[in-house]
Amino acid sequence: MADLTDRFPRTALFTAAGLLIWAADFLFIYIFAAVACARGFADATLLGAGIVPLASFVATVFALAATGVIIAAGARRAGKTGSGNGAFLGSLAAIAALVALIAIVFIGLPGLLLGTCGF
Amino acid sequence: MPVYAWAMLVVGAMIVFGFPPIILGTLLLELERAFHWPFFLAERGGDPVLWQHLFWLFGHPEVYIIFLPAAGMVSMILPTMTRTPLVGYRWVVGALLGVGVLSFGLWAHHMFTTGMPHLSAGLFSAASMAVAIPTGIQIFAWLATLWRGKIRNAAPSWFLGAFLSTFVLGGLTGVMLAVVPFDWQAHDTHFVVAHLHYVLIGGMVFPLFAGLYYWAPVVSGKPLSERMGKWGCGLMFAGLNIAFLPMHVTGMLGMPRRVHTYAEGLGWDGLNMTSTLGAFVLAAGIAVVLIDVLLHLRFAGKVDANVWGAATLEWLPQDNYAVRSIPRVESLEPLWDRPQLAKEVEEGRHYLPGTGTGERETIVTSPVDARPQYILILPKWSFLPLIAGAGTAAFFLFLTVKMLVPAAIGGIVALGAIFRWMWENDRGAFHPPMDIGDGIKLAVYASGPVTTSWWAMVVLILVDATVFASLVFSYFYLWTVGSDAWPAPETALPGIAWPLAAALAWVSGSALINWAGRFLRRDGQGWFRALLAGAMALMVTAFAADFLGLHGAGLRPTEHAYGAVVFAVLAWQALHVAVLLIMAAYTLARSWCGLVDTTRRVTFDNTRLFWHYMTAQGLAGLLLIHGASRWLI
Repeated sequence: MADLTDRFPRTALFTAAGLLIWAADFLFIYIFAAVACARGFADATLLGAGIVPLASFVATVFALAATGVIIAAGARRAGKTGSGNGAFLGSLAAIAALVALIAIVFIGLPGLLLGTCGF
Repeated sequence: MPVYAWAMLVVGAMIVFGFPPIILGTLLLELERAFHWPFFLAERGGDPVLWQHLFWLFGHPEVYIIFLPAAGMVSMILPTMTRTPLVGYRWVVGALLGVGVLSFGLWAHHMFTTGMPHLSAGLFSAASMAVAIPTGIQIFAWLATLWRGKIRNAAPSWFLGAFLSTFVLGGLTGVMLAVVPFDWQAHDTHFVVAHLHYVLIGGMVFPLFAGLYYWAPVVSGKPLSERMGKWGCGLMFAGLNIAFLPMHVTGMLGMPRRVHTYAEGLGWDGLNMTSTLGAFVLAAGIAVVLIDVLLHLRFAGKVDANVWGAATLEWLPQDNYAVRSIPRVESLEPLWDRPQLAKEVEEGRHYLPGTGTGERETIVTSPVDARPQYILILPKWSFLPLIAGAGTAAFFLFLTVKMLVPAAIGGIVALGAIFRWMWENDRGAFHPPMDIGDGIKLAVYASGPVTTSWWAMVVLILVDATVFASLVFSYFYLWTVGSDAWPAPETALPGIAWPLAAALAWVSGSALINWAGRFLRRDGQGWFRALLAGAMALMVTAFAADFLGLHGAGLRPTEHAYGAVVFAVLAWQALHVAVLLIMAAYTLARSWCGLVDTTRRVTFDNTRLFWHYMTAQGLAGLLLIHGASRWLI
C-alpha cells in the first residue's frame, strides 16, 4: 500500500521534470537580467562577453542538456515498458520535456540577441 | 484518464500556484489602505508596479485556468461527435502540462509599457510565443480528429465549430500582442478588447455551451432542444464577430479601451455602431440558450441516457448516489470497448455495489495505478458547511465596508461551524475492514501519506509557501527599485541574539511536537498534552522574540517600504501562529475527550505537518529579514 503512494511524488516530478527545468531556467535568466539592469552591472563583461548574454547562454546550455536527459529517459521508459502506465508516463515526460526544450531555446534568445537593458 | 480529468488536474495545480500572488497583493493593498504601510507609494520607497506584478502573476495563469477546462471539454466532446478516438491523446495531455507550466512565465507581457528593461520584455515576449506551441498541438489534434471522423450535425458540434474558428483568431492576435513594438502601439486600445473577447468567448464560452448541450442528458435524461441550440449558436457566433471584429480596427485607429464616450469625427462612429448591433445579436443568442435551459433542463434523478453513444464513464446509468458499482477500466473509451459495462455496473457486479458501513462511502485509490487503498467515509448531510460558508462570507464582506463587529461575529460563527463539523469527521476505525468485491478487503480508516487528508494539508502548505514566496519576491522587488533609500541594517535591525533566540524557539517547538507524537497511546495522553502545550509556548516565544527585537530596534511599518515589507513578513507569521494555536487547542480538546490515539491520529498528523511547515517558514522569514539585509544588501 505504502509503495504505491510513495512512488507518486517521484512519478509526478519526473513527468513534469522538463517543464520544471524550463521554470528554473526562466527564473534564473529573469532574476539575473532584472537585478543586473536595476543595480547597474548589466554592461559588465566576463571573458570578453557581456555578463547578461553569457549568463543567459550558460543557463540555456545547462537547461537544454538537462531537458535532453529527461527526453531520453522518458523515451527509454516508454519503449521498455511497451504498454500501461509506465510507458504512458514515460512518453508524457518526453513530450512535456520536448515542449520545454523549445521554450528554453525561445527564452534563451533575448539575452543573446539584446544583451543590454535598453530602457 | 479522460482528457477533461487531466485538464482539471493541471488547472488544480495552476490554482495552487497562481492564486497566492493575488492573495498577497490584496493583503498588501489592504494593509496600505487601512494602516498606511507604503508598499505601493513611491514617495515612501514603494512602487505601484509591484501591484501590477502581483496581479499579473495571478492574472495570466488565470487566463489559462479559464481556458484549460474548456479545452478538456472539447477533447471529450469531439471524439463522441466524430465517433472516433481523439487523435494524439498523449500529445494533448503533454500540451496541457506544457500550457499549465509555461503560462507562469508570461505575466509581464501585460506590462510592456511600464518601462521595464528591453531585455526583460524580450524574455516575456519569447515565453508568450512559446506557449502558443502546446496550444497549437491541441488545435491540430482536434483538427486531425475532425479529419479522421465524421462529424454529427448536432448542437454541441455547432458550438465546437464556433469555438475552433474564433479561438484560433483570438490566439493569433495574442501572438501579435506578444510582439513588444506592436504591443506598445496596441496597449490599452480596443485591439486588446477584441483579442480578449475572441479568446474568452471563443475559447471558454463556446466550449462551455457545447458542454451544456452535450452533458445536459446526464442531468435531465434527455437532450436540450436541438433547434434552439443551433439558433443560439448561430446568433452568438454572428454577434461575436459583428461586435468584436470591428474593434480590431477601432483599436488600430487609436481608440482607447475603458472610455464611455468620445468626440465625433475620429473615424470610430460607424465601427462602434456595428459593435453595438453585434452585442445585441450576441445577447439574443445567449438568451435563446438560457430559455432553452429554463424550458428543458430538469433534474431527473435516476438517469440512463447515453444519447450520443459516448465512450466515457459519466454516461453510465446513475442515481443520486452516482453509479451503482465502481468498475476498474483499462482503456480511454471503456463504453466503446466493453459494450456490456453499463449493464454490469447497474447490476452491481463491480466494486462497492452497496454500502458496507451504512454511511456515505467511496474508494480511495493509489494515484498512479488506481489500486484500491481504503474506504473513505464521507461527511453526513449537515447544515454546518452552509453556516460556515455564510459566516466566512459575512466576515470578508463586512470587512470590506469596515463593519468590524459584524465581521468578527461572522468569523466566530464560521470557525464554530467548521470545528463542530470536523469534530464528527475524524471517526477512527469504527467499522472492521470490509469486502468491496473481487475478494478485496479494505480498511475504513487510514492515516499518513496514504490519506486524502494528508494530501489536502500538503496542498494547503504549497499554497501557503507560494504566498510566502510572493512576499519574498516583493521584498527583493522593492530592494531592486528603491533600496538606495533603505535604512542601514545596523540602525534598522536588532542584534543577532534576537533572531537566534527566535530560531532556537521555532526549532525546539517543532522537536517538541514531534516528541509528543510518541505519547499518543492511551496511557501517554498526559505527556502528549504537556508536550503540545510546551510546543505552543515555544511557538509564541519564537514570534515574540522576532517581533520585540524589530520593534525595539525602532523599525516601524508606516515610515518606509522597507519597514512595511519587514512587518508584512511578521504579520504573515503572526497569522500562522494564530492558526496553529487554534489547531493545537483543537487537538488538545480531542485528546481530553479521548478522540486522539495511536490509530485515530489524522487530526494530530495534520497539526504536526503544518507545524513543521511553520517552523520552516519562520526560519526562512528570519533569514530574509536579518540575513538578506545584512549580507546581501
